[in-house]
Amino acid sequence: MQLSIHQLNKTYPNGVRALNNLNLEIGKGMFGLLGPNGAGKSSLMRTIATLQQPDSGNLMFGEIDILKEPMQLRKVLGYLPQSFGVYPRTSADQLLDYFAVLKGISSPKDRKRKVDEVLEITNLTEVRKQHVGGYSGGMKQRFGIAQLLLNDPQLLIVDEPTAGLDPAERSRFLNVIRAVATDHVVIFSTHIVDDVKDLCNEMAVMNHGSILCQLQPVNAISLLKDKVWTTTILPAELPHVQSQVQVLSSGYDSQHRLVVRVASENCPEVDYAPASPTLEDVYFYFLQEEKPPQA
Amino acid sequence: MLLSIFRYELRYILKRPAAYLYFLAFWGLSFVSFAGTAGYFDPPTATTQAQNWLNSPYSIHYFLQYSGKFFLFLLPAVVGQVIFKDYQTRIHLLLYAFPIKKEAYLVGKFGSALLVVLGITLASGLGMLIAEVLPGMPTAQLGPTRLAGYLQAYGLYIWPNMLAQGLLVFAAGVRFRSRYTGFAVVIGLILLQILLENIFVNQPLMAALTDPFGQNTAQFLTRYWTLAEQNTLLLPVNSLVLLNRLLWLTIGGGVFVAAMRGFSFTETNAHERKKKRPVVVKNTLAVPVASTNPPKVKYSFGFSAQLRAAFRLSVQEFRFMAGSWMFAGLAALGIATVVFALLRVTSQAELTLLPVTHLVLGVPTLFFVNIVLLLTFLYSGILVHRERMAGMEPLVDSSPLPNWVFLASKTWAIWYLQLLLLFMLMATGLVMQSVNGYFHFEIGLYLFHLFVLVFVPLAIWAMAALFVQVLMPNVFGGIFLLLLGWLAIGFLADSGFGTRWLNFNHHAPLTYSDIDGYGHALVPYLYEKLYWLMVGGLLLIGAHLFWYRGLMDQVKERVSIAIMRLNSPIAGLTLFLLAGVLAVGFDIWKKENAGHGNGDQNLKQAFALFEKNYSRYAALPQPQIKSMQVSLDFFPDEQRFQAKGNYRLRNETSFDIDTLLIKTGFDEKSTFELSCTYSLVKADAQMNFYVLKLDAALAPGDSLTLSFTVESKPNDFFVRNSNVLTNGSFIRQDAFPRIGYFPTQAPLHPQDSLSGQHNYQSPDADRLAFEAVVSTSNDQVALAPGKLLKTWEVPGRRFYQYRMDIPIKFAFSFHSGRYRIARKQWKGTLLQVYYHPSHGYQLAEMFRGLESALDYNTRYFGPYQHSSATIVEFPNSEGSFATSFANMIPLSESRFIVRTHKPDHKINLPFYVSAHELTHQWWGNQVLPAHAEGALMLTESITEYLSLKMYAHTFGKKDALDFLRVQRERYLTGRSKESGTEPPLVRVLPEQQYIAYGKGALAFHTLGEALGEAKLNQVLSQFLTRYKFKAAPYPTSHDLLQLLYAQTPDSLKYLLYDYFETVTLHKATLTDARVFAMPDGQYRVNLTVAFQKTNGAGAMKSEFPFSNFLGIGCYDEQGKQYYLHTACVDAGFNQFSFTVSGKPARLELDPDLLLIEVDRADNTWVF
Repeated sequence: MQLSIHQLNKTYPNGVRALNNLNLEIGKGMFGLLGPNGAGKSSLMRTIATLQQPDSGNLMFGEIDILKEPMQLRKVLGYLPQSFGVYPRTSADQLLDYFAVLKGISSPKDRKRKVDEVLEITNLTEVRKQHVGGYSGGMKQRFGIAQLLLNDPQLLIVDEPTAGLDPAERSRFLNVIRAVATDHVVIFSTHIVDDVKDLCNEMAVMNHGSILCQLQPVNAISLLKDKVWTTTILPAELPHVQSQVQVLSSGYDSQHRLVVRVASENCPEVDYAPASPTLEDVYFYFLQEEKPPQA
Repeated sequence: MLLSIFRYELRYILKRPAAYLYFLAFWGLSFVSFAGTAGYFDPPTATTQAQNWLNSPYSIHYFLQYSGKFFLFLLPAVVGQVIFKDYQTRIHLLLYAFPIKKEAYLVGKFGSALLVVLGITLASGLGMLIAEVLPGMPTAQLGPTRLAGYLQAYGLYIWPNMLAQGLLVFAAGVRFRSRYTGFAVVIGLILLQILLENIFVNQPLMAALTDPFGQNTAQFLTRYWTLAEQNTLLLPVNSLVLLNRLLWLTIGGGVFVAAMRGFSFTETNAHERKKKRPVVVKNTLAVPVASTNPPKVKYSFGFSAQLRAAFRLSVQEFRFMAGSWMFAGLAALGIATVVFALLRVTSQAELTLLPVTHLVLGVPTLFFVNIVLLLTFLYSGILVHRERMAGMEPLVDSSPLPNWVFLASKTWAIWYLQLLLLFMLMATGLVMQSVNGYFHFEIGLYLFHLFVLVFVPLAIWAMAALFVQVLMPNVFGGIFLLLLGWLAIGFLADSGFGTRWLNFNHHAPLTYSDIDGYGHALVPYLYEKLYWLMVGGLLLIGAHLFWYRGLMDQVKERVSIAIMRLNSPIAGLTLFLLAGVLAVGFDIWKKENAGHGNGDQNLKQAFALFEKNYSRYAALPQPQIKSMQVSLDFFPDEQRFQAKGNYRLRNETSFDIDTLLIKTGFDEKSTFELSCTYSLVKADAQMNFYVLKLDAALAPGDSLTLSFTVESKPNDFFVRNSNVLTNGSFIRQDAFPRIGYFPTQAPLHPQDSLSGQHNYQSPDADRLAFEAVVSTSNDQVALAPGKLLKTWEVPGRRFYQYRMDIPIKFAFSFHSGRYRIARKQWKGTLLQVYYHPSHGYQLAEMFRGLESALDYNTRYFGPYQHSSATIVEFPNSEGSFATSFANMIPLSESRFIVRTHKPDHKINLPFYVSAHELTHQWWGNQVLPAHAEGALMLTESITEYLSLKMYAHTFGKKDALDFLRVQRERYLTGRSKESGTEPPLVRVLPEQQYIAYGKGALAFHTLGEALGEAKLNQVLSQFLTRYKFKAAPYPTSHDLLQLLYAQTPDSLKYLLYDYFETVTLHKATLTDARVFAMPDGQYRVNLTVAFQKTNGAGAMKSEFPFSNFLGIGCYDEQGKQYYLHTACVDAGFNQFSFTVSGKPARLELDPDLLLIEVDRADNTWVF
């Protein structure tokens, strides 16, 4: 199974170009889609999830032409949107039973078994009788995974699921994702680099509606091997440094001075020390490599 | 802080188009309906009758209150939205963190939204105001422009209403944080008004005090206003109005304050916080493992699986609606309304009906259906937008179910809801029937009526509502559009615009009769509904095509997606339905326009043209019908009849008659032939009027024979043109040819010397010999006037021969039905009741009424002229009246289903009707009044008075007083609806029943009390003897008045002047009363009475030639009258005293209702 995206374009009525000649090939395993807010990640996810029509382009999942046969895709699709609500005053098992109906499980007995299973997987069995509206953020995201699993999906789309979760919830959530992701095509969008590092075997960086690069996290770091340097400067010096070298990131230290990381073939100045590259460096590197789009 | 919130919200609302659109809609509606009512769009017509001014303060208030019901829906849309908006955008999470006081926040928001609503309501007044000053507006119904009227309506009613109810709606929004509760509050208030109105139907003061909108308050204070008063006076402002306003403002304010107290800036509301159970968070980091042995479940996406899914979802949607408190509350209110509406229908002022099934299915059901419709509009919006409101749409939209499954589940769910409500209605009906001891349960009728006839149009509305809600981006817009459409369709249909195939889902209400069911209207009704069902199917397809799924931002995108969804099965279905709609629609159009009936072509115009062409024949001498022989055949199964017969016409004038004028039945096909030679001079085909020239003139005293055939016109699909029903047919004399120029001439003044020429019913006949053979199918009985001579049968048909022993006036009827017959003898006279088999509840009372009338009238006025008296029942569809023809009394079905146990203060109707109608055999048949003003005084007034006497003799004085009270009410409310000038009793016109019956009974009763019953009857008897069975000159009211003057002592002649010759109203006020104990153990009562008389226009009559008699009743603690003092009073203040044996607890002026007083509230004095 492979998801192929070819020449996808979408411009919103307000002129924002959300997808810009986007091409992408995604195979089995966890695929991380990294990009800043507004990069077009959600537009891409919604388009794959059949919720939005592109202006032009092609979308194939295996043999399924997604744009022509959305219903075929929906049968094998599991979608966890960036944000979602649920019917108020309804418990998790009631809601899951409802979603099971939507996902084609006709027999009440089958529905019960499947609902029990996904509750078990997402560790929600104990709270299944409580209203989902009253769940904490992490529980609600796990509920989102539970509903997604009801139809044994082959294509999972998970849109920024860790945003706003506390570390414990986040790690619990990632564990659940990891447990269910084997053997499926999973697209996982996020702007948190660590999510990708921990989880994905393949990733892409996206901005302004286009894919900037597609690579494997393990190989990614080697791209910047011996090219990342770090130093500490005064905040006022930053503009000057930026004009001299490619600044990947900067952060204050405890003395209110800036620790900057830059990418360079050679050591830019004497006070720069070599640093071992991180995935985050790679991410910022590609974002900055991108040429401003010709609007 | 408050001000800045206020300003911010105001700016926010005013930046959006909604408020302006509402303003425009209300402005347009009021402008168009005002201008339309004033006749702006009609061709100019000349009316001389006084009319209601459309711009009087009274009318302005009436109209704005009517619009007020629609203003109400602005409250959830604007006031409710202003608070809900914050939750919806979740901005409240931010706002709540700001240092804002909750009072400032809530009051600021409410104030701004209310201000906008108040502004929008001005649109209606503005529309009226512009319409009334518009150049070219017909002025017949316009008085001077009066801003005070608008000020009053807004200041006293509309704005306080908006404030009070806005507070309630806003409080509900704050408390429940749901956008729909406001809407529920509005429906609840409307229901509450109907409920209170029905609960307090016999205590109008309470209804006036409690009305949430003050509508009944104003109505109560103006209930006896005459037309002139309605046109000129400002609405009364008194303590009742202020109390009512204060009551609702207090309720609104109280609820608002309570909601504000409970409000806090938190993420969830108080209501939810209480309910929510604490979530147990198990802090386990255990890595879950995908089960190694996942359950094998079957996924199915076939059509049958999808159908099952749709069903499953529909149950879920239905539970969501039916399980909510909002629904439970509204349904309970609706059912309560039905209960009280039924109580009201079954116990009207003078009637106490049995709660038969068709009554339950009548007015109470119509009420309830409107509630179901409102809920349909609301819930279709809620369901369509439900997923998006919850934010769940990305999950639902990406599921592998096609759109139609969602649409079907929501459509079905609305249908279940409608069915549930109808089922509740049926259960309520059955319970109410059992509680009232009525056990004739017609389950079949309930099921058919509610679940076929009522449900189908509701189901069609549900389809339309879903379609509109799918297209509209928000629920309230959808509801507004639907309400507007519903109103407009009703308005267009009522004003004759449009046709059956255009007025969406509209239909005239079906009337059901136990006797002939739904009659002819049933089949066309079902056919029309089939048509609208197919249209509804198309609308559902439309909803399917435009179903909102995923992200569809632009109209263009939605349209292109809709076109994409029009795949071959859908397109096929669309074509199929479209073909059906076109075929049936065309058929309906064809049937509608290919009628045999008279339709409603411009009759007024045709009539005016006729009068212009033919009025010169009006004074032509014509012969009189002296005998009639007829054979008439009913064919109930085919709903038609045919008749053949002849008249003997005799020239009773002193002129030769060479021109004969004949008019045949308007609704029938007729032919005629004369026994002499003649030529046709002129004919009017539309009016069926013929002018014949006789070759040899008919000399005075000579006769000729006119033979005729009459048959009913063929029935059309939509219209039954014949009078024949499948059961209970009722054909009257107007089906047969008549002689002379027919348009009724205005009655002459009773003292006009020409007034006695014709009798008040038939210018072409005084009394005639009558013989008839009637036949019908052999499962029915046929009736005609006269004595039954013989009956015989041929296969399939039964014949009856009737003959009248004595000549009768030209007023008779023929009947055919499956009757049961009850018989009784009274001194050799045969009394019969022909009734529908299940309607035998009141036979004993009917016989008692007939016997009582025979006893009383034969005692005072001589023998009954026929050998039998027969009451015949006819179905509701033919009317709800009773009448008297020769020896027959046709009596409507509705008079047969009267309750057997008469509650207090109600009339024993079967007794009264039977006695009244039989008394007409003396007053109306033996004495036949002239065609002059005041004719009804000689028939209805006397008959009503005599019925009262019979009533008093049979049931006692207390019950007779109830009867009199009904007559008083009838007169006073009747005169307030009078569009012309109210004449005195001696000049009452035929249509003025409130005078003929109501005032007539009061007048003769007062006179009878003054003269004595025997003395008055003696005068009446003298009058009757003088004119009994006489032909022209016929007597007038003036003839009786002269006789009364001759026999009334001078001291009482003022009664004849006040009650008969003029319009006089009395006003007696007990201004002071004191009681003193006397040494002998008796009590002395001193009292002051203010007394005056006014004429009909309200002007004071200051000088009375004679003192008026006035009764003063003394009552003990138990309310029992133990002494009645009669005093003489003059204009102004009168003081007098009398001695009584016991201490009075209460005094009441005129306890026997001898005076005619509009307001009796100041007649009593309680110690």
